[in-house]
Amino acid sequence: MSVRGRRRVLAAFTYAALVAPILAGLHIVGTTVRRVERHLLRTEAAVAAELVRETGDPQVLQSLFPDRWRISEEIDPTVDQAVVTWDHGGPQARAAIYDADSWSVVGTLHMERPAAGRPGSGLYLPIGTALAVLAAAALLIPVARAWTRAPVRRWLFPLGALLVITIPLASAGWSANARLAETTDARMQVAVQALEALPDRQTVVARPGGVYQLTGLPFMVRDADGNVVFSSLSSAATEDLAALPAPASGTSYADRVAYAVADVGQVRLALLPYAHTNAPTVPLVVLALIGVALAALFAALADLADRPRVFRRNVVAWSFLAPSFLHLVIFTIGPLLFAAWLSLHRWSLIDVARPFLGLANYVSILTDISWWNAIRNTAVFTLHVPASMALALALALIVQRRARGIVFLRALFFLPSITSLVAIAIAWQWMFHDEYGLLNWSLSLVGLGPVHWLTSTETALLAIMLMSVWLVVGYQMVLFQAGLAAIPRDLYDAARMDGAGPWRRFVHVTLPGLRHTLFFVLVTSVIGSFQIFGAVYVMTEGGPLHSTDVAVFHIYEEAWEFFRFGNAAAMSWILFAIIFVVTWLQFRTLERRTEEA
Amino acid sequence: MGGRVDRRSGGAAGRGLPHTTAEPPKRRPAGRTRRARTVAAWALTALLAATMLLPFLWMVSTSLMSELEIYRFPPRLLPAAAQWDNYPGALTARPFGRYFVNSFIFAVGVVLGQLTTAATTGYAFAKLEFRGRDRLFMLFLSTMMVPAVVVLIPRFLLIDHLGWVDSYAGLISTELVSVWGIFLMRQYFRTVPRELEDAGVIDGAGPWTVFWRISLPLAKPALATLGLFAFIEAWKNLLWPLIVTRSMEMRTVEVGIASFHGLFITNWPFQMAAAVTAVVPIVLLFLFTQRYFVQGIQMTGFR
Amino acid sequence: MSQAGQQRSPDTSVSLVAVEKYFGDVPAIRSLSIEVDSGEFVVLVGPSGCGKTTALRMIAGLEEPTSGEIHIGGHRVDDVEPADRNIAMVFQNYALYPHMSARQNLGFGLKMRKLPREEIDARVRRAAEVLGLAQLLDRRPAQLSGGQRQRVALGRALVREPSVFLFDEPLSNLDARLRVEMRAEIADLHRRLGTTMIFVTHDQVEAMTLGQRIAVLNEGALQQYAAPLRVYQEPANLFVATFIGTPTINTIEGQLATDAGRSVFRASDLTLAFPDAGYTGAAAIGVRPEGLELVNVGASDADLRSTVNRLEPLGNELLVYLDGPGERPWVARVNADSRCTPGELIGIRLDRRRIHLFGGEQQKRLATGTVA
Ligand SMILES: Nc1ncnc2c1ncn2[C@@H]1O[C@H](COP(=O)(O)OP(=O)(O)OP(=O)(O)O)[C@@H](O)[C@H]1O
Ligand SMILES: [Mg+2]
Repeated sequence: MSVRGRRRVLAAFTYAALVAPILAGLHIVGTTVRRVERHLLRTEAAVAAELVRETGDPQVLQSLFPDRWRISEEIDPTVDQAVVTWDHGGPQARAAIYDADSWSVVGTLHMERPAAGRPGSGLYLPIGTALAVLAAAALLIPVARAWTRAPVRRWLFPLGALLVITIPLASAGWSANARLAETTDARMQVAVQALEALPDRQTVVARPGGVYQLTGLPFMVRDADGNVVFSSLSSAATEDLAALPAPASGTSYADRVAYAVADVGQVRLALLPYAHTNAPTVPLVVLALIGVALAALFAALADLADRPRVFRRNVVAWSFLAPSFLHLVIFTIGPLLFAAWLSLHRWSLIDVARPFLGLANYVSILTDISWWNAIRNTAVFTLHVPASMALALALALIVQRRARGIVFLRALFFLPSITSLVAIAIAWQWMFHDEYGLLNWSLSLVGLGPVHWLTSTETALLAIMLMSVWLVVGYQMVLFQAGLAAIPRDLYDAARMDGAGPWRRFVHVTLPGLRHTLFFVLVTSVIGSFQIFGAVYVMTEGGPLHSTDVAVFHIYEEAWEFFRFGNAAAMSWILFAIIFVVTWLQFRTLERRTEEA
Repeated sequence: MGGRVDRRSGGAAGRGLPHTTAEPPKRRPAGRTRRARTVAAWALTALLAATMLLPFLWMVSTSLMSELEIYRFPPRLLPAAAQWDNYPGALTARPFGRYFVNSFIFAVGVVLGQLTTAATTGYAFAKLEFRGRDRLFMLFLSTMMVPAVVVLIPRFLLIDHLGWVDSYAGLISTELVSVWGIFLMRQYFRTVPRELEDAGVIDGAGPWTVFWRISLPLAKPALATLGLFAFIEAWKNLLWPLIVTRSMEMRTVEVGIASFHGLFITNWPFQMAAAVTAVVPIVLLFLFTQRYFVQGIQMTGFR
Repeated sequence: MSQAGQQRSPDTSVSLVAVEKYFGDVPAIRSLSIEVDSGEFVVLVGPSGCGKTTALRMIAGLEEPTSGEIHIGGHRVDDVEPADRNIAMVFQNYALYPHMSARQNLGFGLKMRKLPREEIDARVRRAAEVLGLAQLLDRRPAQLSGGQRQRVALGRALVREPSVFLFDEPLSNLDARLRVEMRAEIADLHRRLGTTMIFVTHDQVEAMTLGQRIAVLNEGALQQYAAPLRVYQEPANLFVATFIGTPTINTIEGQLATDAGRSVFRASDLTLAFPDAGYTGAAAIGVRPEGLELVNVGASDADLRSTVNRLEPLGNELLVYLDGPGERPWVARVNADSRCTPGELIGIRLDRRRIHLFGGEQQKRLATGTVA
């Protein structure tokens, strides 16, 4: 391939990286808006059909949906619920009309889109697309001329790419959001008007599920004093919504709870705004980021087009790397960022409303006693690390002396840390048994105990720490042995010549020689112990009385017992920050000191 | 290649031997206290070894007792008559066979994935030249800092979104890359002389052929180490299978015995029988491959 | 330079044009231009770290030049992958594939080029016979001695029948006797094959005995590129003069001044006149050990005086190590039956025709032989 050819290929890739996310993003926005609009049309048909059934008088529709409804005698067996079909030029909805008993279908209601005034398919999509495509092309020109200049490569191009991609996506997202909000209003309006159009509203309201049947919306009914007498919402949502002030103009949005409400007499209707449920922010942001990153990468490699062998080498290297890199992005870096995003929202598997909360999750966690209890327990648990390290070091010093049987011994010490943790935890739980456990029996032999190992709040955590020491000490010992073996014999001999006793040799030769090993074991063990889960999960489930509730277990429960993913994500980020700081502190204080030593 | 293995494991498994022979036998200051100290060291070592072994022995012993026998004070150390029935009893109470198959498929899938990605990526970082290599390597390494729990929820949501919850794909896909493994392989590949690959290049082999025919065969010991660690890590993994599997048919051994534990909380012999069954394969695997573990630890300095 | 007999064979010349190589900011090769004719045996020689390996690796294509051009067989090859340059390389530490038998090692390159099996077997057998490896083909490198490994490495290059051979210090890991043997074998090989060969070494005996031309490198720059004798007799500069020749050339530093159309060199009590070199200032002269004649201290025609430090009788000749006359010790190569004893004060007479004058930029050789 010639230099020109390679340049063209690179330029094509760059262009694709720029344009593909724009097109994909606009497509996502477009389909979202269309889907929501179709949903609105279908809702209108459903409400209209219900209204006709309820009142028996089709003319009520005229004021609500002027000139865009029609009732035919035809009975389409395929139409039961309202459906939207795409007829010549636009979507049309049809719904079956039932008789007053809701027994038999008497006709079909046809509903069209309003001719004008309603959010339609604006021109922004084709125009925006064309502009974005042109802008991307324009961006390539200076780049193609100045491929090799570093500032262009490093800053200008990525910046340009960012603008070219984000401007159309952001504006599309923006206008989509506005239109989705309008649609939400319209949807609420339909429900409100339907209720108001009802001559005997009270009977419908009094009937269980009556309001829902008519409007398709969750609702609550309040008595004259404002007390909620009925609600089809969850109790938490009811509480939130009942507290909202009466909407001035029919609809009120409340960001924290992400509902729109409207009052019709005693009835308060609630609606999840589409803006919150459906605006595709996450995919748009992800697309934009991927596009910018790829375009910048291709542009950064562009000057290699002139150096075919270097170019080929880069391509080859990426063929080796790509799977891992993609995996890392998809399964680690992406999730890391996504967790941060989650932590700013109320996010649960069961509630479709996932409102943005800002730092509220963090604030509530940081003022939550149970979280601090978990952190405290985790920190206390981490104290087993120095204990096990001291023991492991002693073991390493003893065991290293004699050769025979060392292989067997080492295997023995290593065993706990590699076998099934759950099995070991079960075994220890049995050994910790209050009455029949091995430990209490041993204590009773020397006239002590019994200790309520796992059943007392005072000792449960201690018991788990004890087991953990047993668990890791062998593994640490193997590491220390490796470190000890690396200390030159001469140093000991020299110290001996200087008349240093065993203790001084230990302090002045062994410890300094082992400092890197010690440091690594400390850092990795502390990081590991901050993430303890299995032992707690199996042995105590955080009990008794939360005395063994540790951070990861707490997060696990928050997410998979209470389904509060946003909260759990915030907790996990806080834990990450704590681990990060602790590790950093260890580096600061210990590694620097050993460096000086 | 044989030479390399021997050198490493010689340093590991046989470390003590050269020292004992190399130590000058003449130097024997105050022979008696020295011997006393040796005996004390031996005794202490033996005691600690017993401590290490005790829970395992106790596990086995309890698994063979009858349900009545265990509730005795003082406890019996050995069953009056070995209740071998506990094993079939426990193992058929839940589909343990299925658990083992699942754990095995999970672990083998993870091993194959990690071997592939670690070998190729480690090789790229050790041997290939490309722009931004060192910075990218730092990025890879820095992800080792991220606690598993932070990415747990997003990973689950992703797997859920893909419809892979409660499937092998969901279990395995997130574990296909191990940055530690990449680091290990990189360290190992760096010890392969550059000239070997150059010779391959001049002989007409492309980059992938050089990797596959020359470098990879030389990295077999490192691959063995990584494979073992990956297998055991996967086998021991509790949190991820716990979250991503739902049905009984997809449980792994770890999740299986944990829930078994909850169900049969008072039937200790059954639980111990299940626990022993879970431990035995790993112990066997470990006993035959011990040197690769020590080797792995020494190669990277840490685990 | 090329012999008439080789004109018919295809063009396998190698040329480097103003090649530079930087590792980061560190220059390894500075503007190197060398032409190697088809079928020529050229030796790259220079002290450790001077860039010999780097130059060779660039010819092989294992390393890209930072700037400059490389041509093989008349074609520019900067964008050509090593595999397509039709070269073979023998590495300093053999670089035999440890996990393959000698046979597989020899055949690997052919296999990569998708030659038919029989052809590979035939070529491997032929190469093995030539190198006396026939009995060892099924052993792995670890089961071979150093010399045998060297032969396998050589064989691996041979079977490929390349147009250019590159050797990177192939003999440096062998003991002295084997080295001499292999040296002869390589020379023999070149005579038989008539292939272009580029041979890197820091051993000047190898350089002198093997090369039709030798290129002396220092700190990445070419110092001299000429036939071995020429390099020995007319070194381009002081570095070449010192680097080539054992024992080392004898030098003394002094000042050069112009006087009556001659350049006059003065160092303590020595004054020598050379043809006008157009240069004045610090300078040095160099005389090879065989250019010294030892005479009586009292002799009137002695140029310099010094004390004998020690003697090295080599049988056919005698090396006399002196303590001076300047700061550096000198050596004289004299008749085996010459008589002198350590500690003895002795006079030195210089062979006027063989005195080199060095001076100026990079201590260039300004003249050889004095004038009256
Ligand atoms: N990959 C590299 N990265 C950085 N510097 C290098 C690299 N390879 C070589 N160098 C430097 O380039 C210079 C030339 O090295 P080269 O290996 O060519 O020397 P050499 O003449 O072959 O020496 P020797 O006789 O010891 O083999 C040295 O200073 C060396 O440090
Ligand atoms: Mg070299």
